[in-house]
Amino acid sequence: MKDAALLEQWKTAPRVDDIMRYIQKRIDDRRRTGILYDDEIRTELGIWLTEVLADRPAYDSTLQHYMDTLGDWRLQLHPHLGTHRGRIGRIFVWIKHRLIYPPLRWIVEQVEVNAWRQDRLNLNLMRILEETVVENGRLKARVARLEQAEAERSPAPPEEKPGP
Amino acid sequence: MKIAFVIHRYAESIVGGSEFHCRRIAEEMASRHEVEVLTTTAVDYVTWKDGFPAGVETINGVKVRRFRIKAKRNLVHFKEISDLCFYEKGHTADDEREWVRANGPETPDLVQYIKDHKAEYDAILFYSFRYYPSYFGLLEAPEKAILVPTAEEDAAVHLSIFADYFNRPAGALFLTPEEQDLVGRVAHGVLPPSDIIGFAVDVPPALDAAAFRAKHRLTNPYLLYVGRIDRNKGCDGLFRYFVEYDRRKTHDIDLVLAGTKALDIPNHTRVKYLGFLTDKEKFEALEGSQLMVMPSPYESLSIVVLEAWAMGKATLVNGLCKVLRGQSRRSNGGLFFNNFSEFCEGLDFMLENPEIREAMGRSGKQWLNENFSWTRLLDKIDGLIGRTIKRP
Repeated sequence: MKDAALLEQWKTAPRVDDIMRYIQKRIDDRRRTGILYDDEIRTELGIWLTEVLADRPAYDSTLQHYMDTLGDWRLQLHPHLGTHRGRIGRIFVWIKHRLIYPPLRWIVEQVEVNAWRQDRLNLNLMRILEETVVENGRLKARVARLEQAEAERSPAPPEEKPGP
Repeated sequence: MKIAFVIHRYAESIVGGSEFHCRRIAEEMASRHEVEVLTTTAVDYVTWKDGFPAGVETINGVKVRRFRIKAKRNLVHFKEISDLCFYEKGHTADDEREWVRANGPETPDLVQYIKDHKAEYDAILFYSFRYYPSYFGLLEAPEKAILVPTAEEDAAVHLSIFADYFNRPAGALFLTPEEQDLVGRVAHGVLPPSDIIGFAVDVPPALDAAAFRAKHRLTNPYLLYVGRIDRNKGCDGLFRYFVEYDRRKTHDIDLVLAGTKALDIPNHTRVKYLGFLTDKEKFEALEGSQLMVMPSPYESLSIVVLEAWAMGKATLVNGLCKVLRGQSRRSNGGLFFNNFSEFCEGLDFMLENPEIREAMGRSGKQWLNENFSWTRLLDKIDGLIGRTIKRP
């Protein structure tokens, strides 16, 4: 039945299964002819990734745990070194300040740089994933178009004759 | 007959789905039988904070017996035990029972009362399998128990302790065929005698949608969401979809939200939040809308979808929820979406074809009237009690 006739019929007797098939066909047609718009793929992917990232109960509970149980979880960037042991204590402070603190600081900076690099890597990996999905959508649409064009060009196969 | 209802919260001001379902059925059953509700003092569904005094009171002609809560819900412990039970394979049945206890509301006095007084009741209806009163209460009186599981397709229903639990009551009442199918699968196909009751909708008289629209300055056509505005109800996804849909400017439509807010609402000119509405206002909001949207992926029965159909309004629901999809297909009262493309196309279709949209609303209303009425619903409950529970 033609679309116009279906639409007319549904005005008195709507059939949800048929309407959903009609809607799916509209989406498929758009994907086939106009190619699913890149922004639509990106939106779909973006929404999907956001949902995946939002659905992280283990991370959520860990964060909740830290926030609920530790009052001093925030970073303290400046070391406050002091002593109550008089002259000997001052020697320990000097050792901590001059000998232990510099290499520790160097290690922290290294970790920070590596964390930043990891972040960049993650971002690039996500972009690659996104580009792959977009490119896959394009290729699928192109293959579908070529197959359709091929089917329209090639003549119908000859009927098989029954054997003797 | 003397019938008890066991439910985790009970009050006229509580609008949660299973609580509302229980209250309305208890009130209607009171016209046929002696009804008593056994519940807790909790008012808040997250922390189980006390809000009502313990003891006996009467609400709309129904005797309500409240029991004190032993402890508020410890959210950190609840998250930890949830992570253990839902994501760790090595957990035990005791861990799962601890999950039910942590889920609460923990009321050992209520369970003890059921144990001591079960002989006084002909039947006890236990609402919502996942909460402490129904889980531990039913195990004390399985021979008198009719379970109303209100089960949804989420992680909790698949905990191993519930496979046996669903076999224990004398009978079970389901809200939809999808819920019956789900619980049957969890219970490995062994279910007690059961029936599907759904729900009957009462539309308030003398609605004035024009006055409602004027009061809330709703000048544009709107898509309506009514319910708790919560991530668990799929509202975050709805916001993302709608904002992106609006960016395309295919149709001139607002998204109007009504209900308790448990999630930040986007600051967007086309998204309007009305706050909490009274029952009458809710129906006026439905009457004034173009259609109603329900994005929740987990529903055992969406009463507000039935209310939309009672008002002759078409719906657009989350197709990932088997119950909502099944209801839409059975009633022909609305469309469903599984992703952003289907959301856009479905909404476009509804707005471009107002006659079909109205026909879907009429179809939903007809299906509701044919299948759900109070007489039919109460007859089903009486029938199941008569078939399953032996009386002296």
